[in-house]
Amino acid sequence: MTPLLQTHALSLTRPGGDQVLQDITLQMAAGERVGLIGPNGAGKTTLMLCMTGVIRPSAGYVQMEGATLAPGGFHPGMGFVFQQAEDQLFSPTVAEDVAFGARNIGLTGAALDRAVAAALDRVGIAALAERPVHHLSGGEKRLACLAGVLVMEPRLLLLDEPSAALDLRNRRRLIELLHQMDQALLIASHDLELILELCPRVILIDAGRIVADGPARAILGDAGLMGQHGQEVPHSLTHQGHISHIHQRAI
Amino acid sequence: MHIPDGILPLGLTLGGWVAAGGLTAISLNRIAAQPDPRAALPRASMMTAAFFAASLIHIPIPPTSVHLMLSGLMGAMLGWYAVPAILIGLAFQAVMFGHGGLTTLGVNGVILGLPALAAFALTRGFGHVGHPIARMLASFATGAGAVLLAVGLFAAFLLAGLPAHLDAGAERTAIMALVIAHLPLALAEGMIVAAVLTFLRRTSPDMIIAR
Amino acid sequence: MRADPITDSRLRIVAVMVLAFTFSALHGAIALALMVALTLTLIWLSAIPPARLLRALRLPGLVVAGLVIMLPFTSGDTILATLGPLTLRAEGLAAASGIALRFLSIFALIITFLSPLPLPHLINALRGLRLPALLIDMALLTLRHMTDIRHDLSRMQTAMRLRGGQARWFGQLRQTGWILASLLLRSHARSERVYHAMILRGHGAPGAALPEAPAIPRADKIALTAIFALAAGLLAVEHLL
Repeated sequence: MTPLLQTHALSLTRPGGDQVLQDITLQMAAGERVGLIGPNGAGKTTLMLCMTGVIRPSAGYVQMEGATLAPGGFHPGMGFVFQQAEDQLFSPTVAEDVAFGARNIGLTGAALDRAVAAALDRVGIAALAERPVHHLSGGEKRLACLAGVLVMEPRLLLLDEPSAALDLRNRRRLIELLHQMDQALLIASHDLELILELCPRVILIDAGRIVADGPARAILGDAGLMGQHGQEVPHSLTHQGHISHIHQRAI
Repeated sequence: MHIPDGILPLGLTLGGWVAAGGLTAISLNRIAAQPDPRAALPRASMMTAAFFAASLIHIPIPPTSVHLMLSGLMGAMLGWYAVPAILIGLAFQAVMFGHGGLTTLGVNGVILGLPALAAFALTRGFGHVGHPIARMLASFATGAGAVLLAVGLFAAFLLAGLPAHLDAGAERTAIMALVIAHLPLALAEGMIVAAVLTFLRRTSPDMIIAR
Repeated sequence: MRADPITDSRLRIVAVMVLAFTFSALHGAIALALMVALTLTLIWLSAIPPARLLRALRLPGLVVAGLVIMLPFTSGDTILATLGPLTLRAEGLAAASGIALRFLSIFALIITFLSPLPLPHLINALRGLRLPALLIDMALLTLRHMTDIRHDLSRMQTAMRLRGGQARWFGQLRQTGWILASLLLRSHARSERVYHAMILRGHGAPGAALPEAPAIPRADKIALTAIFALAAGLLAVEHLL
């Protein structure tokens, strides 16, 4: 079966000669959830923007459902949610912002209104439709961004640090929401607990290369590998050690 | 809309500096008279940076593309701060990219500064008009009018500055062509400024300074 | 020895201004030739790489070329040559070359002597020249945020493109307006945070020390005097010869 997304030896070299991405080859199946982890500056955001075609790779190419994507084109099958909500929201009201993408895939009139209402409903902010986006809270802005992308009915969602700057309740709400989605998800995050909860598979990148690609528990639980690339094993995987540590202190 | 160095005679360039200096002095005076002039400083600076970035947005108008001028919007949003903001922007452009000029900094400051102040006056006069269509038209005029006024000043300075013994007819034709070539920009900028001001009136009316 | 003729940024600004205004007053052939010679000497002294100068010149050069290109063919009575439908006229040619030479010389001065200075340095030099404090503070703050805001804008344009918007299309002016309005709102919110952070670190507090102005080296004073003399000489040549 054709995978949903394939990248073939994607590389990106900056004009100065810096290798930002080197030889990135990966596949994702429909509905698969993958966590993308790595230290700051590893190239996570750049890799995802390269997949969307916004950044033109120096070498390699991307295929979605078997078709090669032209860099610079508009590919509504792939949705990208920015780390900073302000980068994405630009309209006076939430409903207008969500309608933007829907209009760009050709929806008009009643179909447009229905799609917008459905997307807002899906992320649970139907009540905020007419609110000015700049007056929303951080959590609400994140949901508005998500609705603005979901309205285009993508088969793959790329999320850049989706839980950054969210409080616990909003983070939980986001995780539940992502859990219910049937889209494939590629989540770049430093929130390893979120990744562990949502993604059975993890890709670890460092200095623009894929260092590891495999089951989340195996990679996130490998203290040696994680430490080598500036990461820590998430607490929930070191639960045993954690408890005994506290226990010792108590005595 | 920048006159480069080397074209205008000394009298005009010096006069331009004096005029721009006068406009700046008036503006700084008015700013100093505000309740807490320093409080508005970070805001004005940040907006200057935003306008500087935005003026690099290219609007394709076949067969070429132009960049936004935005002095009308600056006047509407920054009020008296628009004059220093414009001079700072021009100075940066001259030193960073070699756009505009050094001897003509004053003249260029007047070309953009007067339309900004006119837009400021227009916004103050019509900003509280109730009828939405009237307000929309005033916003459009803020953008389009400022462009036209700037083009007019630009053409006037060029005409005044060219050597007298030259064939004035041909020069005049060329400058008229220049003005006509800017009509689409005036239209585009009018519509963009109307969109910006309508947006801000809906979401954060306090952003439009005009006081 | 090749070195920047003037090291102090304040005097350097004054020197460039004096020369630029002097250059803009020159029209006679001899004066223009001397102006070019002086400019070339100053460029040689400063040891700026010529490639850098030429690169900087490309775009502004085009603008000026566009402004003067029709002068030699439309202005004047003395016909020098006929090239097909075009007649080359002496007065127009002289005016166009004068403009081009003045422009090139002044431009070269800016690129050679002002552009290499870091902008914050240049702005502080203007403070030393007694420009109003508000203007200086505003310029420094603007500069401080310019890069951030340009990045904000470019990310917003990317986000828009990813959702199929074509912000660069003439027909989508309203969207361009909205992006602009959002950028201004964002910048405004950011400025409030920055201002509060500045106040918390004592901005505008009474008793705050001003940055100290460095002393002017003797060699710079001599160089500036020489430049004044050269400028006066050029003006004399223009008016007497």
